[in-house]
Amino acid sequence: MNILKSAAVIAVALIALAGCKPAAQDTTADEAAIRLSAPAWAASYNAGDADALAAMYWEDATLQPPGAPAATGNAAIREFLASDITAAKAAGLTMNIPEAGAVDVSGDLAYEAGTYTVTDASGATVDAGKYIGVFLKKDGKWLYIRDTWNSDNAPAAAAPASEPAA
Amino acid sequence: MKILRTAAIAAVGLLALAACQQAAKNTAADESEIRDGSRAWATAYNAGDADGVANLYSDDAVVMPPGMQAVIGRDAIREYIVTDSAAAKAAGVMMTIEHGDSVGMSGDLAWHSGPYSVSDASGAKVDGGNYMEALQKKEGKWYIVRDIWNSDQAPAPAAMPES
Repeated sequence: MNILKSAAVIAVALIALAGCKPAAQDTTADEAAIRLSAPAWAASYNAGDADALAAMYWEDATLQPPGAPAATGNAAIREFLASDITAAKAAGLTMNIPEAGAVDVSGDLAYEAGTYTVTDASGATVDAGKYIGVFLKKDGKWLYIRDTWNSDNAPAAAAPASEPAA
Repeated sequence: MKILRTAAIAAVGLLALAACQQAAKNTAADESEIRDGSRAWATAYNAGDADGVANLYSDDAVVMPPGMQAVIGRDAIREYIVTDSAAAKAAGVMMTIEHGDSVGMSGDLAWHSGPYSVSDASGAKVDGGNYMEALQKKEGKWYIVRDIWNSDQAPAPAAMPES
């Protein structure tokens, strides 16, 4: 009986420990989903679809663009991106974002880091930069909670407002 | 005897569960370490302590500063900080990590983001923006693995050319 009792206690302890050890997360599908985000973002941006872009962010997400204060919430994010898209369209610019170079997933949290380029109507690269996106998974869906980027180029000197007098 | 045996088994099971829950959970100490890390970053930067800044990053970390390409690896990050902190010193500006930052964690992955400001020798704010860090916990310590920031301010227009 003593041996049986000890065996039972050990068995329960082992089962409890095995159960608590976080199951090695298979992140393959999550990583694949996240890698598609940045190219999808660029496609919606170039298509002028601010609604589709805003839908990639959680309601409490914050967008941190260069040259502007942070925008928090779907409505503010949508507004910023809509006016940014209009400006890009007027300038004839296209956003190119390949799949993120770095992706890491842990539980319901993930981040991606990558690079982008901006090309003009002739296809020439006029800007290049980098970004970090942070995602949360809720109800099986990965959406942005934070999105931050910047340009590799030093700010271009503004053109003179008027020609200098000769 | 039967009751005792059952109680012993239940106790061992509960203890094992309690121990494992603790291991899986991120604590307030993790959050403090991450928040304090960014403030230590600014303190070291303002002191021109490039090692102090570089040691907050993992060996393979990538820093993504505005106006230049990404800086890859702790050694390159140290060199970048040597140059950049010297330029800040020469310009008489200081970096401050402001309140209002946010932290999110899951297991050994975390992010930390918030506002920063740059002030001149008189204490006047001359620039401000936001940063985003991705961190990984390795051997019990949080290291920044990716770091990006940008200014809220649109590039200043060039001065009118003298005619």
